[in-house]
Amino acid sequence: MSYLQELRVQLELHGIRGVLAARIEAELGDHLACDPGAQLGEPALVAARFAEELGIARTRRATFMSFAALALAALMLAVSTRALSPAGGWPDLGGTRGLVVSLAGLAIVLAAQVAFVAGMLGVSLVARRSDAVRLAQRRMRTALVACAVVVAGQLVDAFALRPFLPTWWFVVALASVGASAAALASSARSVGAASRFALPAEPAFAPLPGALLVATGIFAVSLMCLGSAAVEHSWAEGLTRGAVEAAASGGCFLALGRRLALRPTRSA
Amino acid sequence: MKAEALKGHLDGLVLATLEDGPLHGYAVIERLRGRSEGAFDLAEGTVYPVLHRLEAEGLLSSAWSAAARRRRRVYRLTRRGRTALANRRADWRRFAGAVEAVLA
Repeated sequence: MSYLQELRVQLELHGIRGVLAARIEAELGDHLACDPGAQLGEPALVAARFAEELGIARTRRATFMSFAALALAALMLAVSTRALSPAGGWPDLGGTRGLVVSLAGLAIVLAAQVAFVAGMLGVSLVARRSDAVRLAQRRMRTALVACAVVVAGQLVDAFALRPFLPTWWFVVALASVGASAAALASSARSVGAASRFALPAEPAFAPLPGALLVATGIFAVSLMCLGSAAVEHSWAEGLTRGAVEAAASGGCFLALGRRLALRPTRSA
Repeated sequence: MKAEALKGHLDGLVLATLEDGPLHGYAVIERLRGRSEGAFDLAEGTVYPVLHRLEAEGLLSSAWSAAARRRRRVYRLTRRGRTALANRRADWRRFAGAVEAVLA
């Protein structure tokens, strides 16, 4: 088997295929044509270096792109929510429709926080270090999925509120959902493309300090309590929402803590 | 000089070889070898991944050229690449000056 044939096999094994693999083969083929005795290095080593270098570069780009998509989705959510006021405000809803809107609202509030936390953790990780590519990808995937839940909640709200609000509000809400969904889909593709490279094992991550996690949790629950009490003019409502926030934060920490490297893995 | 010693400096060295004009991969490695008078003991194939990454980071751009009846990928510095090279050069001078001051 020639050097280039062996390289092709190794590139495939390291997740490098298609146009990119053809380009690499052509470049190294040209190198060998210039100097048939060139010491290019073991094909497995060269393929591993390509996977590592490109995996890092593309993960960085995908992470920043995803963070921009999260920011756009947050802006779109603010736009459609803000547009409710000139459209006549929240209608009084009861029965099944009211329940659906409440559940969608709950999903939006909770998933938005997961998206924010996972997105911030992901972007701060790639800004600081380049040996944690897999973890950064995992954090951004979590953030994108959570943000997709937010967008789905917005879509449910748009259809549930449509009969009670002017058509222009429905158009604004749908346009917001469309813009967010397009940005999220594009980012998900980018993260997916960066994930296909075979990368070396990553170092174990120390979980965040417990005091920091507890302080963040207390801050989030207090903010929810006080904010809800102020908006709804009701301490009972504030305490109820604070309790829901506490339960949801704890649940998310248990469910996603290991995935996001916030708490020790089982083997650690 | 072993490749290990070049860790952290290879990006700057590759950018510097492209400062005077566009080059294809083989010429980049030849210039690197020529300017260092053969001091760097590099597996030549490992320079290409660096070229690809620098391009992905926007510091280089590349295009196929058909000179000498062969398709070749030619790399050139971008504006961001020139800025990055200037920064790396300044960092290196500070670092080398400090090491020299201690060792001398």
